[in-house]
Amino acid sequence: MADNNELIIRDLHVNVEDKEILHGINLHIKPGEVHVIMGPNGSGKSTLSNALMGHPRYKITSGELVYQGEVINNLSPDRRARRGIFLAFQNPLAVPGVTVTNFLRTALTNRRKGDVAPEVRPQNLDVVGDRPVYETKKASVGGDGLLIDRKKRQTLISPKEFRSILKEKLNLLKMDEKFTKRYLNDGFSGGEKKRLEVLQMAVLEPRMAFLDEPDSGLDIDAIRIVGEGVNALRGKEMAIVVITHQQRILSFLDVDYVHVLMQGKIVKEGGPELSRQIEEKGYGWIRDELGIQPTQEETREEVGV
Amino acid sequence: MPSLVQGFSWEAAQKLSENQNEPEWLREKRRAGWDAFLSLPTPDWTRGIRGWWNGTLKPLNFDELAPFTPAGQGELPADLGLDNPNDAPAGLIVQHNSETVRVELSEEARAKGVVLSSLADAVKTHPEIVREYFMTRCVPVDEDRFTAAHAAFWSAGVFLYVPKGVVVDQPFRSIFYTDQSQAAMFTHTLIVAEANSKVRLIEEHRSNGHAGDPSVLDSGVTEIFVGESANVEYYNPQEYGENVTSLAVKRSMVGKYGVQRWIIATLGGDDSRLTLESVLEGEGAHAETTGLAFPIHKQHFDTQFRQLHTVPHTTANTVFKEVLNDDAQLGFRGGIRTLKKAQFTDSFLQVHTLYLNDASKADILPFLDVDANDVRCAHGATTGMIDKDQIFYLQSRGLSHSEAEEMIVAGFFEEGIQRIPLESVQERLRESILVKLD
Repeated sequence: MADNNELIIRDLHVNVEDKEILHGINLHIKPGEVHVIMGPNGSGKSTLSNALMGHPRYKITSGELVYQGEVINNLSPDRRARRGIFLAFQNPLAVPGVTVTNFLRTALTNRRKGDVAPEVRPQNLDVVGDRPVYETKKASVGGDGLLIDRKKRQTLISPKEFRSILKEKLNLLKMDEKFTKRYLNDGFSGGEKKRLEVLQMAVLEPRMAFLDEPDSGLDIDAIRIVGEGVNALRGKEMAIVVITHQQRILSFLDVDYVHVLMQGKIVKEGGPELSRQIEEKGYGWIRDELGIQPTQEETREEVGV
Repeated sequence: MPSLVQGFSWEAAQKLSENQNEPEWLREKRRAGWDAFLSLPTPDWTRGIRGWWNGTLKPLNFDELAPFTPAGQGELPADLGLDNPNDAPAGLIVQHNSETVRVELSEEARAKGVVLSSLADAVKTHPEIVREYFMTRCVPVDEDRFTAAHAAFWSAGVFLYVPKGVVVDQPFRSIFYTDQSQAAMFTHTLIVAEANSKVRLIEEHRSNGHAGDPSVLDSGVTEIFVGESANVEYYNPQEYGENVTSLAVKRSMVGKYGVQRWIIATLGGDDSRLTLESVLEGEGAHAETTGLAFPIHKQHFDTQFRQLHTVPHTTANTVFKEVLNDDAQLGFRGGIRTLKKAQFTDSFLQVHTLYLNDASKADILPFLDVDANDVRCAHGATTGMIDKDQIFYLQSRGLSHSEAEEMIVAGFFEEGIQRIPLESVQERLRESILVKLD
């Protein structure tokens, strides 16, 4: 694996259910940089973040994702994550019955192991005719052969070590330990979910972190907390890409590059001043400047219907 | 005790009764059971939309099953953790095949007057109690063909009696284990909790058989009597091997302001059928039921559940959670029944079913049968595959697809498992679920 932690997105085309949403995206993101991808609703922002993480519903039809010197178009989401790509979800999903601690311990174990080719699982099925025949001796509840195999296979980070890592990160983000005993996003408020995403990012220490609408649905205090959390995690080694349609969180972050995404294409790029312009004037002027026809959705949004 | 003749016969039941020196009334009960066994039909459980649900049992050859099998020399499974010092129960009773092999009761519980013994012993030591409660109004002898056989052939069993006002927080533990092939087990548990008492029992069903081994039958009965303002918790992981046909009838009669809590986890057995009911027969009575089931391979589980409200002001909450994989089939028929005079009932039933593949089938039928006109009764059911977005979310943090699936299923069961009061039992159940996921 190359040490080069750059991400190069080359002419990326992405389909969702046979409809092309992204029409050739080009981006180059280097360690330590903070990028912002801005765009109105429906411009393809979530499609981009899902495609980068490898959601099976978002199909790359042409172009390349190059990370650490390798094309990762076909890597599964977990293998991307193990290589250091992270996506903070706009709407993190609840998994009842799974505590934050247990989940993160497994996730961190995998992250540390790094990317490994998927293990070939022992074949315990024979097929007779067209029906599988189960080798039930091993898998039945009473059997204990498999139990040992399982324990061998899964050597998680020791609870003690994990606790100390978790504690350090909780302190860094000024979060309460109670958080970690709850079930993953289950019954969490909007703000709590976003903070938990930042905590996960802190524990997993990604190289390339995408934050999909980290400020949506939050009041200004909650945005400050999330923004300060992200700031606390910044470092020379990590690149951060904030994907958003508003700029509120940007007042808490020092941004290097701003890219404007419209109708599935990056139409304008610049420095932090570009986001301030958008804050003042919206997106209409960019369209006018470039001669882009607004879509129905964009018109509706701007008229405020 | 010597092994009895092979096959179901009145002679076998008689011999069992003679060997135990049973009183006349009990012998009559066995006789009533045997007569009912001969006259009742094998229950027909076929049902379902377009009749696809094949609930009929695989034919059992009663001539080849031995209704009594001695404990023999076999070892109990080590993972039961019977001597785990961290999990010392208030009492422990182990039945190996048809014989009780171990009974222990803490000093504290004994001093308070708690009785934990085999039911066979209780017939001699506490005849009035057994005579009043054993297979009378809770699970009658002739409820169906299998309870009838049970009445004729039961042996050993578990008897747990808690006197008035006695509270034991530490759970009791009972274990039924069989390592005999072609055995018929008739596991019986009788809990009598007098007024204002509190008791918890963890009861485990285990065996050493596997799919394809000669079949084993367990026709079990659990009877619970919850006295006024008493509180009974019954936890039951059923982890039989996949050669066992398990037909369990479990019922609790709950008195005034009494509380019955059930957690039943059905993981084992080839055909496993559970009949579960709480009868709330005293005002202010309350029942909490959690049912977990995870059939895989060709396992075939069936649950008949009834929450019966017979008097005003009773409440109940019921959740069933089920996961299916491979060619498994699962039937659930369960409902809330409210009699006309049971006004102000508050009762809720939910059934959640998760499929891990396309081949497994479930037939879920929750219902309400309400005769009172001022009640709050509701039911809800969900079925579906695991949410793909949930899997993607976990994968995006570095969990492989199968790890994500395992974690989601484990979480699905966790809310029930974590309420079981012995950690070693919790741990083993979690492990069993993960093994079934492999």
